[in-house]
Amino acid sequence: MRHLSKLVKLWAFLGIGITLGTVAFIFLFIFYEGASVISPSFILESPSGAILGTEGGIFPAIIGSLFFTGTAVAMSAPAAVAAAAYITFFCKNDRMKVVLHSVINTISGIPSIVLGLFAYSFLVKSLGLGRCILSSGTALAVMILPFIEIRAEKAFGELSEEMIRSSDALGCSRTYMFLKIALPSCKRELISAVILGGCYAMGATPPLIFTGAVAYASVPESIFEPAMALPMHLYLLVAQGATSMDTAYGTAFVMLALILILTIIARALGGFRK
Amino acid sequence: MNNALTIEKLSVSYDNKEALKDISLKIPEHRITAVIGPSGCGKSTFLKCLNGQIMEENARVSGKVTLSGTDISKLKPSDLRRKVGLVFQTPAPFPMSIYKNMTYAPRYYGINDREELKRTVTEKLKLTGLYDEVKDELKKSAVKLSGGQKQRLCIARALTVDPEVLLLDEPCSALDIKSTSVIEELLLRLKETYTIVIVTHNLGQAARISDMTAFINDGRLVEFGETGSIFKAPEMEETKDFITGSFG
Amino acid sequence: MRYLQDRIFSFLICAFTALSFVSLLFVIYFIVREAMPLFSEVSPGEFIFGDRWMPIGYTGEPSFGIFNFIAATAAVSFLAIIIALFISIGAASFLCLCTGEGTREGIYSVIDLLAGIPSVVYGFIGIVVLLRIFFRVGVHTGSCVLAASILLSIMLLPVLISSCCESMLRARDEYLLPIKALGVSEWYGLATVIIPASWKNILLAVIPAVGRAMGETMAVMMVIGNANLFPSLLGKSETIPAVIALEMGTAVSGSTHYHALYGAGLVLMVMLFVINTAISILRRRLSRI
Repeated sequence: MRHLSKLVKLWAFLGIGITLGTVAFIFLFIFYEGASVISPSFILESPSGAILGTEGGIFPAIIGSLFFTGTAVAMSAPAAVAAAAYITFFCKNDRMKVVLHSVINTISGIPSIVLGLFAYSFLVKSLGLGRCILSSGTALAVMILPFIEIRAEKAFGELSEEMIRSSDALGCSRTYMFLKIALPSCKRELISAVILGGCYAMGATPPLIFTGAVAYASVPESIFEPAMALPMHLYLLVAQGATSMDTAYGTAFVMLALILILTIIARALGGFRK
Repeated sequence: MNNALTIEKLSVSYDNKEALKDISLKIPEHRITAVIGPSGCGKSTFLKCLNGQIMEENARVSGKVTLSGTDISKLKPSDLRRKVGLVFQTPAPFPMSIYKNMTYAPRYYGINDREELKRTVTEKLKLTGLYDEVKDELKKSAVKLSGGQKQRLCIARALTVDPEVLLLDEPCSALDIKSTSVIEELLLRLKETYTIVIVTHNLGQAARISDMTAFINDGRLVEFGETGSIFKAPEMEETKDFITGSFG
Repeated sequence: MRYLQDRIFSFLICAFTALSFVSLLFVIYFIVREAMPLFSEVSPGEFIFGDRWMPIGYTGEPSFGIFNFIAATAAVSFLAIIIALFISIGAASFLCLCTGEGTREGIYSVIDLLAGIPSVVYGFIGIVVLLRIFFRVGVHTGSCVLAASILLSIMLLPVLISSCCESMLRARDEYLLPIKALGVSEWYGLATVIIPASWKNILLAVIPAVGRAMGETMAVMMVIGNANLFPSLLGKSETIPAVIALEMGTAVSGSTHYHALYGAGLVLMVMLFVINTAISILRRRLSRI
């Protein structure tokens, strides 16, 4: 009896210990190892060196990542928010809601590598866009669509039912209600959802590998050309082995820092978990 | 005495379950009509029929409701809602300033003139007695008002579209005694301008403020008449049981 | 005027909502379209149950069998879930009994940071930390199925902890007072009442994580060694997403190899679809009981 209590207690402390320890370890490890690599030139210069990436910086990869992410968010956010609004406010048919929910669930279950395959076949080959930011951005957009939709729907769902019915009772259309009440009062949560979706897209590699991210490119000027991306760059540096480990730490540092900052902003906007 | 609303042979059913059966009554103008009955008897469904909300639910409706001579099923939903306002049980101010709450509907109906909007806001707030309490802080978020003030704001907001009839669905059940009596006085003042239908399960409230009382039980209209006679000398045994508290 | 605006806006909402449908249909269409030519050359049975993956015939005939990849994908995910579940139930127990609402929210948001870390960073840390440990212990090059599972289990922690904790909190609120009233220690009560009572819900919440685990590419690919072998705990292997990510760049568009990679993607999608459908049926069953 006593032993069981102790055993469970040990298990509990072990579980939380491992979890929090891992979080702390990952961030401290990357920040500690990466900090010595970070310098203005690392952030603001292009990669160079006999084996690419052993010297120089990662500027094109940072800008490239912003391009990929921006494209994905621009394509995904309107569709995701519209779907959430449709389900919450406009759809009067319950069966339709079920269908929409299962469509969104199914999309969220598609592995990101398969989305890469899709974008390659559809955009790179069939539409003839070639490897470019738009091709990858589309794959990323599909990937983050359910992510944003779920959060937007949750935000809309928290509006009080009576408030919506009061607007109906005044004879106002749902469109008017959505624009005047729902959007303004969920603004922060929506922005937060979009930023988090952006973080998710920024860290994803599989959809980019063969659709638009390349080992070396200069800073992109349009979404119709290929570009470098931080996660892809990190992968290539690691794959090259020991020679480029320093820059790999630096790249990981920049990615984690970017994502951490954006996450904190998003959390501050959306309020901590309710 | 003119009738504001005439209800003829109104029946409603959800999934083959009858919620209202063959209800006919005439609601007089500029009077307060109270609808009483035990929980789940169909009072709220009855209100939903009067402002057309029932048409948006999966319900089968038969019978006819006329609003000052017009069959309401012939009206566009938004026109009907303008003529028949509805206030809910839980006060639900929109998450914006008091002023914007009040101009929400007028703006929707295309009134953009600032002076005119201001006049409407002042007039309706005065009507509900809220004006003196909030006149200096119209920019304040409506969510920060007290419960009773919120409900009065919701009533004022319902009046901004100049309805002919005002429906209230248990407007005081979420409020304390003091706010309740403020609202009751307010309703007595409002009946000079509007026709009022109030659903309540507070029998005392019905007796205090209403002119006419309808008792609904199990989806049927059991008795309808002057409030005084319903409470003092009900014709039906069922009504008597309900009023004396034997059930419900 | 107002009416017209409303109609236009509602139409826009519907049109944008339809994009969700369209994108799902497009994904399915293009994957199936590119996978189909494969099956005119390789039979589905051969493709799924064959264990020789020889996309280019350097030595002998080309051959396309993804059985080992399927097995590895399933094995890595299964193992990862087991490890993650062990840690999560422990952590959730702690959160249930040792923390108040405020602390719990705080710890949650720290744990949530794990969810924000890109999988390529996990892979990187796996290589520079985990693989070194495995190498020192004697695993050749360090890459192995277990390393991939451990890494994957960490990635699954945020989702699993919050769903474990949610069901255990519900059970706690129901049973903790009676347990204490009996004078039994709360830890004993946790082990004998609360965890067993929330087991069903935990399991239901956990199975969807299998899907996420099976689709994970980068972290697994970077530490599993990528060799076409049947998975064993300390041996190398290769998962379906890894094969696709590694070989898509070199596969000649339109070749059998290319179609085979789409075929592998299709198999992965079907596996996930089957799992998800099974879960939703199971969930409906269980919630009815």
